[in-house]
Amino acid sequence: MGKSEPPMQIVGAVGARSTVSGRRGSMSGSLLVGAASLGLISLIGLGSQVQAGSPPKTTHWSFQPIRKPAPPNAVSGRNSGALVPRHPIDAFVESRLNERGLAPAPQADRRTLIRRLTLDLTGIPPTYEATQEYLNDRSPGAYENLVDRLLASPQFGVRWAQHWLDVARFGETNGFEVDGDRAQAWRYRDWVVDALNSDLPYDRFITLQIAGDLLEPQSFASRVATGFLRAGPQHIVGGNQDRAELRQEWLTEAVTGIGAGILGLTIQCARCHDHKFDPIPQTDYYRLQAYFAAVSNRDWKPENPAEDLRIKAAREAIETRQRPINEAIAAIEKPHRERLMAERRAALTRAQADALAVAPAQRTAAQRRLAEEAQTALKISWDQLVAVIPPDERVRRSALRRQLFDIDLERPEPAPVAPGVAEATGGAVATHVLIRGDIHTPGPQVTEGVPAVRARETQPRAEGRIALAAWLTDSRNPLTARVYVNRVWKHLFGRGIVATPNDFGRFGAAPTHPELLDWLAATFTAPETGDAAGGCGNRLKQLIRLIVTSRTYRQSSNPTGSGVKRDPSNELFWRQNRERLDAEALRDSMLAAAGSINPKLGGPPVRVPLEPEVYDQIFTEGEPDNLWEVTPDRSEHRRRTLYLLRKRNVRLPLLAVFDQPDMMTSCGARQSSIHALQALSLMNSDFARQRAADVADRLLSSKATADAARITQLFRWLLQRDPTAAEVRAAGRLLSATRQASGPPGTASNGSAERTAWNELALGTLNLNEFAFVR
Amino acid sequence: MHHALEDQSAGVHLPGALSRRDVLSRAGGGLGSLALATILHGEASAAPQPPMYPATAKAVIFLYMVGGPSHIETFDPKPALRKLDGEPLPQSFGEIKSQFIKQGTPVMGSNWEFNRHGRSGLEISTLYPHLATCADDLAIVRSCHSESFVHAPAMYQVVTGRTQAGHPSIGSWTTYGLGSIGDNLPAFCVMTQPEGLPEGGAPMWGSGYLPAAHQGTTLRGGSTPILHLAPAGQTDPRKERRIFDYIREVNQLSGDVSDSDLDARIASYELAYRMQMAAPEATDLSRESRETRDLYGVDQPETAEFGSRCLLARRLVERGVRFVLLFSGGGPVNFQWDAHDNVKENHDRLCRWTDRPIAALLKDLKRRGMLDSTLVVWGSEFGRTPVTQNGSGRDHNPAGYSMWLAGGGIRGGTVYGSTDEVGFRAVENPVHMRDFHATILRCLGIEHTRLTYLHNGRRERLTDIGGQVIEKILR
Repeated sequence: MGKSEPPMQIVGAVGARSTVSGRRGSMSGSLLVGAASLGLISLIGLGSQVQAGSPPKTTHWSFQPIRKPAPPNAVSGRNSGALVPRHPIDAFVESRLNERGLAPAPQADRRTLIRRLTLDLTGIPPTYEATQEYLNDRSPGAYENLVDRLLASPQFGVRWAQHWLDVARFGETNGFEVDGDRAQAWRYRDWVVDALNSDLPYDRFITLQIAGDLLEPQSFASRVATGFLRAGPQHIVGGNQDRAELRQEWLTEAVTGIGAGILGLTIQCARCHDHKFDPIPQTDYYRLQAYFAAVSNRDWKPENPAEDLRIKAAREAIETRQRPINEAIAAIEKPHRERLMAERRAALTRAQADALAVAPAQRTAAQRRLAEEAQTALKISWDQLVAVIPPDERVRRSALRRQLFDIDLERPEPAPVAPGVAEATGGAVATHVLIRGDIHTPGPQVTEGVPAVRARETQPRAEGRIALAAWLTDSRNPLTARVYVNRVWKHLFGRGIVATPNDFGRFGAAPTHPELLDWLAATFTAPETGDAAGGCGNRLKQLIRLIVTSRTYRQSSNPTGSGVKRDPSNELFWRQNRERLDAEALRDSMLAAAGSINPKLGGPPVRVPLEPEVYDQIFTEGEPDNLWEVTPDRSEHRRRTLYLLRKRNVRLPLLAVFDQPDMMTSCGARQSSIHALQALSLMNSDFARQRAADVADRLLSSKATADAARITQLFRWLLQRDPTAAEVRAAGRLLSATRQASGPPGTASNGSAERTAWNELALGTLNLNEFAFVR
Repeated sequence: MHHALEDQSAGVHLPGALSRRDVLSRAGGGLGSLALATILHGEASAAPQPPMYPATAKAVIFLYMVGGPSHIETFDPKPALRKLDGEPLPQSFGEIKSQFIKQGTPVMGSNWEFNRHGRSGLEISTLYPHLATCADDLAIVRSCHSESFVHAPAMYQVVTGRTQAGHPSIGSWTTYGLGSIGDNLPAFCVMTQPEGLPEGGAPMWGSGYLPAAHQGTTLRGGSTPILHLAPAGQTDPRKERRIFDYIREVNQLSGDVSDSDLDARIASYELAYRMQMAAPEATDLSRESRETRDLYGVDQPETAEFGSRCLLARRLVERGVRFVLLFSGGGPVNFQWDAHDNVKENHDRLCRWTDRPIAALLKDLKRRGMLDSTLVVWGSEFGRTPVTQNGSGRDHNPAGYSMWLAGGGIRGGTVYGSTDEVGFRAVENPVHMRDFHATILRCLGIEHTRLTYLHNGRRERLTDIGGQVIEKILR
């Protein structure tokens, strides 16, 4: 996006919206007038039918073209004299501070910096050793080297994938009552991690998620990428379902995801009516939906007959081993089932029994009903059967079922499939505007088109999504880059330049630094120049490097100085924000502190052990055993949180209380609440207790034997620093209180006192504010 | 206790973009201006707000009957059904669409008689002999309707207003709007059937996009009623005092310039400790008199389970819990009201489990002077079809069914709205779930259009795009 672009010509979706059953919202105007230049339209091949002129105009900031403003040249009083080139971000931020008579906070100390940067970039804290190494590195490029090292860490992709999966509301089950598993949905999660680690340019990142199956139909990875379009919840249930309605829900989910995730717009509002606040007529919603008219879920399976045969054989071997167990279970059940059935038969009325005896085709209407009643009465559900099995046999039956489940654990991994989307073969599917969003009241037919641009009627459907992706990622699209750089800023500062990352519409927050936002967006999409400030080539790592090397990022977060009174909510970024660790970073930090984190990347999701209360939250009408197949390899339980199964209806309490989003709607900015249930989780959950025990084990087997030395070691592992004298005293008091409570030395009750004492101290230290916050 | 924010301009609407820190700052700074109770419930900003109307209820107990009890066999007498028994439904009533039934299945008359009860002469079936003695306290809404004939989406609608999961539960909206009353228990408590969950699962009490502090907390009987209330295998939470002391001491040693987040976190540990003390006491039913236990049927096999939970609900409200969501039914189909196979057997059994406890709850609240400030709601995601399924069962019917309210500002002994002659469709004064929610919020003193939360560009509210308070059932 250079300054030499021709002036934008404003184009509107005139005509199309007037056909919508006389419904005219109060809003006139077209979405993305800036992007809808003739140049852009011809670029993506949609230009022929565009009606120019009589532009319904919007002046809302986010729909205006992105220009690259020059960083203000202001020299603050403190810097006068030396002509040191200022980081452009600092120039923008400090010029706003100057206007308000505020000064930036001093730079944070190095220990704070390495912890902040490591957590922000990788989601786990630095080790004590890494911290020391950095503190001792007095070379001029020490910080920049640290940034490069962290960006190169594979854990970078794990951390930043989490942010994108929040936006995609990625889950591994369907939600609703059945909440069934989505086989191999994890491949999409891994694709995102890989894309971020390999720094796939953002335009490509988006394009593959929208149209990977069309662009590279033989690429497994590119088909996996389209998992984005089916990441949200989906209602899959039996009975007389209205297929059209369920289909419409699928389409709504896909379009909503693109709106919130990529464009930062609440496009879904226009499903039922012209958007009340943003210039999105209802027709535009359906034109966007029309790109997906023939699209549906597709688990794409590459041909591999040899592998299929191997898997089949392995499955059959499992079944063979299970057969005798199944027979033993049936043998236990048989007499009870028969007895129950005999009782039920005996309880039938004469009329019911007679009706049942008549051949179905010969039954009268009355007999049909009686026979139905009889059949219903003879149905035996699992719980009714189990209730009449004597206790000892019931125990035996449970044990046999357990054996079945254990053998199941050895089943082969299924053949790989790419859980993405595909176009239906066969005829085109028409899209209609739906009056009030109701599938049963179709309005005029529409063809696909980006918002506010009338599509060419004859456009080949199979290319539709490619065109859509091109439009979304065109550097002149005023929203895509702004929305993305704002997300990145938010993850590094706690708040976006636009405080509502998923809403750049009129209802969203206005940018606090509009020029900075535009400069970042323009710089992000500009071709790489070697210096990130010159252009990032759509690469996330370049953008992050650009931001974290600013003074603004490196400020102290301490709320002191005149900003406290004049800008208490820190809208102008006169300091860094102190943030509570989010759910995943907190769990991962605890694992890292215990020295037991398993840094492995990728693969099927892990099911960690559940508390019984949480297990009970799994809905089933069936027999409630084996609803949660705990991953047998215990080292997997210490994987990073990203790799834990994301089951929509059963979230892990430790994560849920710390505001992990619910995977139902796109989440651009997590809540960061603080409440008592969090304290209970971190004090009492098995997870917290086990991590404390891991730390204690580590301490008790370390070279340090004196209390003070162990306390020092503990602080180094958990907080990457030495304790103060007062902290050592406080820790010492806890140790002696626990030892005393365990009874006098030498007695039996004191046997485990040492361990208990260190467990408690480790637990207390894991619960400190300093552990739970990024300063 | 209500502690209004000092900055009244904060209003009830809280833009999602503001962090708690921002609002605390706006509210005039320090922790001193806020009660600890507000921090217990997290988003202090969103916590206690002065009601907009005079509140007739401080707390709500929502008795949720999982699976859809038959309205035409409980609260909505339809003599015409008996006459049509075995016949196809006359075409004039329209075509019944539901999840499982085939077209043309015959009508089935009610399996129970209805009698008039109380001074009001409210008609209640013989399924509810105990509840019938409370007839003059009930306002029965016979014209409820919802939008889905599938359990989970219909359930989401009853508790969140929408058929899609992911919106805040009505309990979350309530604590968000009003904050907590007491300090020592979660403000929104949930009790599920021990045999299993309702189809909708945990999203039914999720806080959606509201802060996690507003999510429902599931509660069970026993010494650790709340998950993670104590470490596994340990029942005396006082043992942890020394760890709490260490945490507080070291937190305060920190050289960090304090701010409201850090202060709030320190306070949250104090409150957690208090909750550890308070919750086991709250759930200890042995403290109740023999007479009270008998009233709820706590010691009778059929009523012990649900009776205990009803009694627990009263104890929670007594101790300042704002919203109790109490489920009857869940898990295996025999433990739900979802009588596809045999309405008679199913409802007979489930009413024997729940009739006495529900009546006991109303009577107990009343004699303690709590019914005037506690709204009790009974309902489900749908009623059942006038035609049969599987011979003696009925399918789901969201087009017209009954729910009732009592206490906290409700005009007892009233019937509102009606279904057609066969109980299929709401015809007179139809009440959408949004209207129902608007009415519940009104009792709590909240104008439903003003309880909003900005999320992804919409000012979301419980009642979405509608909501008419049912004025006629209010006192």
